[in-house]
Order: sequence, then C-alpha cells, then structure tokens
Amino acid sequence: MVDFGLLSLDMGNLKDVDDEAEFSNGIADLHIDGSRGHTEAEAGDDDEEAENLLVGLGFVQPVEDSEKWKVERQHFPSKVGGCPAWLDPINIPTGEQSTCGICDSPLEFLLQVYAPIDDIDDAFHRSLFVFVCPNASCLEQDRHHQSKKPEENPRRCVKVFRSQLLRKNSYYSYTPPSGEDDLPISEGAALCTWCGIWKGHKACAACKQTKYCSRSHQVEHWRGSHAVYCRQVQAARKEGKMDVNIPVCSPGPVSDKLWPEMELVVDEEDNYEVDELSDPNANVPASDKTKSKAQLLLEDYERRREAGEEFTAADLEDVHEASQDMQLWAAFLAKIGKAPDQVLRYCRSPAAKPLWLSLNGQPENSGIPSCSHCGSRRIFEFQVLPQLLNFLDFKDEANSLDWGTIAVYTCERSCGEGVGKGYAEEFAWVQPPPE
Amino acid sequence: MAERGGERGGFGRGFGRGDRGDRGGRGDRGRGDRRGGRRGAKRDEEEKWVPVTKLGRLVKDGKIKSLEQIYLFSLPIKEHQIVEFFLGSALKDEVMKIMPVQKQTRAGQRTRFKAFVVVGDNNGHVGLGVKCSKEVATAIRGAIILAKLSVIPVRRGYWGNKIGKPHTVPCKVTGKCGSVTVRLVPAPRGSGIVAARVPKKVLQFAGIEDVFTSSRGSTKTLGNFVKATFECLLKTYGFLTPDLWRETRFSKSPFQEFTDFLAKPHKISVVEDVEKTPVY
Repeated sequence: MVDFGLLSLDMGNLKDVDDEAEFSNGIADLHIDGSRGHTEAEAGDDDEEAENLLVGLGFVQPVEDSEKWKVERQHFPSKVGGCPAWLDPINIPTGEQSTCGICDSPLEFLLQVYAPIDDIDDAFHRSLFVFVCPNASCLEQDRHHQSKKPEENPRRCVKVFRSQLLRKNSYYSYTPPSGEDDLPISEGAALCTWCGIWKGHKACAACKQTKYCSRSHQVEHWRGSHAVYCRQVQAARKEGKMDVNIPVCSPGPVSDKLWPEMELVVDEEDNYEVDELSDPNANVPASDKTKSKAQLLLEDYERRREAGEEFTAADLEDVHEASQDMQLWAAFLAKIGKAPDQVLRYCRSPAAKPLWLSLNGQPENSGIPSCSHCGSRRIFEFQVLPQLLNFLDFKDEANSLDWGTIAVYTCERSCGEGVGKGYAEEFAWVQPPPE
Repeated sequence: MAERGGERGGFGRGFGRGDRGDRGGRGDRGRGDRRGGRRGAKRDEEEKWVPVTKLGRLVKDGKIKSLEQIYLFSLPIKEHQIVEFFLGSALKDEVMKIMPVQKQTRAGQRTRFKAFVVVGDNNGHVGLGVKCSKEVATAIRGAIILAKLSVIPVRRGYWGNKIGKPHTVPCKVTGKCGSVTVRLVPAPRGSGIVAARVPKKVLQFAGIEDVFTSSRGSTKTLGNFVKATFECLLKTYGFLTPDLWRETRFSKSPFQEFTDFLAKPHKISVVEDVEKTPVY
C-alpha cells in the first residue's frame, strides 16, 4: 500500500526541522517555511464538511423487452423516458399543467422517482414525475421565470408532479405484486395515442376511436399513420362492416419522439466511497492510472528534491489557487467522480443542499416558494444531473437541451391537500450549465 | 422489486429513506433495486468518461476535430478529459512543489498540503494548477485536473532563419498581471530560456526552447509573475504577423445554430484557419 504521509519526505528547506517530520503528531512544534501567515481559502475543500446525510444515487439501466413489465405502474417503478407509469391513473394533470408555459406544446416525460415516506401513512405509495419541454429555447426563457414569485404567474417549462396513495387504495392491491402477470386492480384513464403521456380527452372526429391530448399530437399522428387507418375505418363503417377487415390501430404510444425507456436504479453513495490509504480490497492494479500516477509524480518530485532542484515557497508565492467558482466546479467533479455515471442524487431532508455546479444560477434563500397547497415550506428532495443527457439520445446535439442540474423541492409535509385532486405540482430549479 | 422491507409488507422502497436521510440507521442495507455497491470495484475497469457538459458530449462523440477548434471559438473547457482526449499521452505532468500550509484554529494548528502541478506536451500546450487539501494525494490529483483545465495554446516562431522547427516566440509579446509586466523576446537558437525558475519551467513545458525575458514591477513582493507570463503566451496567437496576412475563412462554430450562444460576446483569438499551422 502506498503511504502518502509525508513521513518519508525530508523537508530540507524547512527551518527548525532536521529530522523526519511526523505530521500526525506534534504539529504544534512544526515551524513551516512560509509561516508568514498563510490563510488559505476554504472554498472547495472537499474534505471539509462532515456529511452525515445519506445520499442515494440514481443510475440508468436499460430494460430488456422481456422485462418491460417491471416498469409498469403496478410495480411502482422509478424510470427514465418512455411514458410515465402514472401512480394515480385517473386524475392525471391536464390543461395548463400539462403544457409548456412558454410555447404551449405538451410537455415530454423525463423521469419518475418512487419515493415513499415511512412516517406518513398518506404517502405509503409516493411518486414524483418530472416533465420538460424539449425546446432548448424554452429552457433559456424558463430561467427568468423560475425566480419569479408565485403571484407573478411564472410560466415554466420544467414541471414536477407529486402523487401519493395510502396502502389501501382503489387502484392497487394491498399486497405487493409478485411478478410479470400481476395487473393493477382497475384500469386507468385513456391516454393520448400519440404520446401516451397525457389524458386523451380529445378524439379524432372521423373515426371517433383514437384519442389525443392536444391538437398538435392529433396532427402528428394524422401525418404519421393515422390518415390511412382512419379512412379505412370510415369506409368500413359506411358499408356496415365492422372490425373484421379493419387493421387495428396500434395502442399508444405511437410517437417515436419519446426518450429511450430505462429503469432508474438506486444505490447508496457510501458504497462508492473508496478509502485511499486503508482499503484492503484495492490491489492497485496496473491499469489504475490516477492513484499510482499521483504516487509516481510524488516519487519523481522527491528525487528532484534530493538533487536540490526544488522550488522554494518564494518562487511560487504568486501562484494562487483557482477562483471560488472553479473550486466549486472542481469539488462537483470530485464528488461525482466517485460514480461518474450517476444521473440523480436523492437526499430528502431540510438540511440537505443540492450539489451545485457553479456559484451563479443558484436560487436565493427566499427563491424557493412554499407549498402552494398547504403553505408549509418546500425542502430539497433530489436533483437531476447533466449526465442523464448522455442517455437521452439526441439527434441534433448542438441544439439540444442542456442543463447544469435540475433541483426538485417538495412540500415538507408531503401534504395531501394538493394531491386530493390527483397530482400536486412541486417546484423545480434549473441551474444552467457552467460558463 | 420484491424486497424484505419490513414495515412495508413486501413493497419496495424505491428512493425513499426510512431513516429520514440521517446516517444513523445503517442496519438495513437491502432496500430497493440495488446495483450492488462496488467497494473498490471502481478500480477494476478503466474509468469511463461520462461527460457533464455539452462540449464534453460533442468531443466524446467525435464531433470536434481538434483542441484548436475549441480555442478558436474561446469555448470554456470544463472537463479535463477533453484535453486528455486530444493531447493523449503527449501531455506530461510534473509536481513543482508540495508545500505544507498551516492554519490556526481554536483546536491548534491544522496542516494542509498545497500542490503545484504543471502540465504540457512540449509542443504548444501548457497549463498550471494549484490545489490545497488535507492529503497529499488529493492535492496532487486536484492540481493535475486544474492544470489540465487551464491549458492554453502557445504559438512559436523563429528568431531569424526559418530553418528547422519553430523554437522561440514569434515576436516580442508583453503580458501584464497585477503590478507586474513580463516581456518575452525572441532569442536565437541555443540561447535557452533566460527567465526566472517558475516561468522557465512553464515555458519549457510549452515547447519553447529559446527566449529572453524581462520583467517590470514589484516581482519580489506582491507579484503575479507567473500569471503575467501566461498572459504573454496567450498573446502569441493574437499577434498578426505577415505570414498570417492571407484572408481568413471563418469556419462554423460547433454551436453555430445555438443562437443564444452566438449572442454572447466572443473574443476571436486565432485569425487563421484552424486546420493548418502557419507555413513558413
């Protein structure tokens, strides 16, 4: 094992220290060269805060075709892309809630997180759904709206909805589902044939069978395959034939614009901590560059020191550490570096703070509105990281969505007031990508 | 998602935490769909880069041809893997110093280590990073990353006859930082780098073989000597010399269609085709 303590370093240019310095003890006795009162900046020191909050990390996992049942709503999944597995299948958000506040097109489904709360019976089943508008320009404008107060009627393009149920409810069985064949005990509301996300309360006037959530989706489906099918149905009706020769319209969703469907798996961040110095399992294989690299560099440095080639503190006096913003960014990279493919960080607590990417783009303390339903404050619950964008498979990367992080704040009491009507809207803060 | 979750009668927990987020209750580890935490397993595979910025995603997809294309449009490089992607193994790094730094706290003195790292490919790219941390290894790693993020392109030229490879700065350049002004002057072959120790190291790593330097200002006390040298190097590409008189063909930025990006002010620091280096 590599010992990085400076026990072996002969600090030749230190005054008053001739023997090997033991930094673990007797630090008070050490007179350090350059003890002209260095007061170093604290910002960005990743070792500093003692985190005693458990953070859950979300990772994406592709779903095999044979396992698609796992992400159906009766299994209470957490997932990314595809259609949402609505928890309450009847009282789905409609109207203004389901459309982008800026361009008025229906929102697209980003991800959902199943996050029950043990202490609250009402929230035995509890899911949060995140929707975004796929237009990058809408996200730009959203930045101005998210800092507006609720009474100013901000028009958002990133929306989060919360739904929760008692264990005993009319949609799902009291006992957990056992496998592939289990179905929910009641059917859900009809959804739009095109997107499969929102309620299909509008119907095609011609065939009267296909349902849509909005005019734009009806138009897209018409252009797609519906025109042909619809005419066939009309023709069949005229002749009095029913069903037999008519091709069945494929059940929704028909749209190819949905993001790839993946399961969202959770794991504790602590499982990814690696204790450098004392991890007995790490055999330091040759392929591990960074750690042994630091060691190699250190050895090289020691060799040069012995040869008398070292720089003095005076030489480097004016080389300062990076700016606060850069240090915050470096701290962010270091934190996610432990598990680079994480896409979500979950930590629901009043004391929890999101992992920000930069100094700007953070909300003010007063910038998080209280719950619009019950008035209690909103606390941080989880944040979506930019790594998720790698998995969303954009066709035109240069113009696609881009964010630094999306931080979701939810009602501290996880109140039932808003949920009574089905879904309670919560608050999402988008920090833009760092400059 | 069948789980042992006690009070939940068999229902899974998803992302929910029974202990309200505190580290206190660590007993029940088997909750929700697990990946299986990989203690130490992180070292088994080459860490795959998952980009965090849009530029990173474009680079990983191979949509950007060279580092120079990024410099041409002054796009900020936020991920060190981008620099590694283009410069690869040519990029060398070296620890210049590890300095213990003490801070007086109520409980006594607290020592941290400040690592200074210089990176460069000896061929026109150099960067400098400083990081302070409780452990030497963390400080070194952090400094390497910061150094890679600060890599700048350096243009080299000739003193006299254009024989062989460019070996010195293309012209006299001055850089100012704080109260210090540093001037780099082209030198004939064999002169070596005539500069103070730290700027000499930086110039070496940049691939400059010969140069004369002169400095003004209070370098002894509140100096920003090294930073001023960096400013000089940045200016080497900003200087219009006769061989660059050929007309510029402006090429499309990687984000050309990103209208809001175009709205931001750019400084175009390279006045020449990206793909070709000056032909003497």
